[in-house]
Amino acid sequence: MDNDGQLVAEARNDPAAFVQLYRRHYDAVFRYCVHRLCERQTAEDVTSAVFLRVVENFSSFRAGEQQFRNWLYKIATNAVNNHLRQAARRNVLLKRACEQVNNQDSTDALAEKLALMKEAVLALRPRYQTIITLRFFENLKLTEIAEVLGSSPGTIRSQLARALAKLRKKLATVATEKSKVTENEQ
Amino acid sequence: MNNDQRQFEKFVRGIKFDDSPDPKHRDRLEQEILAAMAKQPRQRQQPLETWRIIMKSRITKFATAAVIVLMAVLGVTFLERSTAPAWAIEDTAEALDHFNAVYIYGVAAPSLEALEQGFDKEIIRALLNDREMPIAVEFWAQANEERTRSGNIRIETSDGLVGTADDTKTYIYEPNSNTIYVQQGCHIMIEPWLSGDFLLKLKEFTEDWQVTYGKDSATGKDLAFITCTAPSLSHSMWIVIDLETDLPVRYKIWHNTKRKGRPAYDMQRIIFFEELPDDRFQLQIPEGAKVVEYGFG
Repeated sequence: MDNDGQLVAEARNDPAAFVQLYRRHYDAVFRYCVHRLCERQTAEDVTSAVFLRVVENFSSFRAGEQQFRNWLYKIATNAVNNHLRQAARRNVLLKRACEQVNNQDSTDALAEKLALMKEAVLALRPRYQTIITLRFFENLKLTEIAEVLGSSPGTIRSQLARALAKLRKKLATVATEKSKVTENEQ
Repeated sequence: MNNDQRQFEKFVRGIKFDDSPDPKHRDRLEQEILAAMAKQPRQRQQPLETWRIIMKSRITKFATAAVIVLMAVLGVTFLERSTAPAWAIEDTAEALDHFNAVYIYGVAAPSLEALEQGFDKEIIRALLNDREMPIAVEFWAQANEERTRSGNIRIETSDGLVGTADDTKTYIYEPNSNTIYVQQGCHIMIEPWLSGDFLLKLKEFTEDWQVTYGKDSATGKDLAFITCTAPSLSHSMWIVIDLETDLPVRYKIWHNTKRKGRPAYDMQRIIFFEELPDDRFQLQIPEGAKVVEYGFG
């Protein structure tokens, strides 16, 4: 990421440099989207929207004030949140996530664990989903998450603690509901 | 990293998750990006500066009342209580607790007294200068962490006045003079926040709380209409609840206890969100705008 500054400057007037930037960051943006949305097709659609928005707003990016990668995460966060805002979409994603898990060639225990996590994370407020995903899937530091979300590291720290507490509660609830369903089926 | 974080990290590591990108999509999108870039105007060397905005004022009194509604514009068929769907204030209180952001649109004619509670007189003169009242106004607001009041907020009027505020600063853009007023601290807010607790307290605080039922003739939606009076503030209110979502969708506030005459606030559209994007609360400074740091508040 160290060369982003130079590349960003060149990309303002050179499409080839912009494409280089895109190639450098595509994987990270896609991964972030798929971790937030739990569904590949939707994640690809949102990733496309993110980069097209980057093209549109590139002139407003202030390289001296934030890292290009964090700006990308910010745009991706807004795009994902906009997508999730409609409860109906969230429900569709949950359903697809569960179907995806059922179809995966993995052990039952792993599939169960993944389904639990997806369901629990998707049930959190979008801001908490963002923080959890950036921290644990993208391995961003608190200061970097703070830059993405335009907040202070202290606030992010306390929100992360709250998000984990809620997640723990959701995981327990989801696990209990699933075990009840299993018992009833038996 | 605390214990909770370590445990979750371990949990995440134990999960097999196919997050590998598809090179075909990457290549396809690259072509789309090149096509989009070809349509773009030449990039500016000097990007426009973006400021986080606001206005802080107890315009909030606006919104304090912010839970009330109206009927005049609404075609309503009133229903007998026995044939109306059941509604309880607790239903709405619970529904409100799921949302952290709100958009409100309507017409407002704030009194000078209300404005004076938040702004310096000189600023009020600048803001009200040649401004016709009532005026169409839109709010976007995000609850603070404690959900006691708004955190980020943006207000726009139909004649181009824009205000934004967060916990640290308030910005008001006055289009006639192309001036941005900046003040330390938050001077525009919705307080208290539109939480379930607020609605329950509103019921306790006000008198003559009455609920009637009806159906929107245009949409067929079942509605509940709350009327109440706050004698200590000399206010009366009308709030409309959509019984499908249990959320308030309109409100009106009068600065008298009889709901007489033109309401001071006639907010005709209320939409709740879980979150609003941060850039909704940013203000792009128009070219050539004068910036005045001023002690209004």
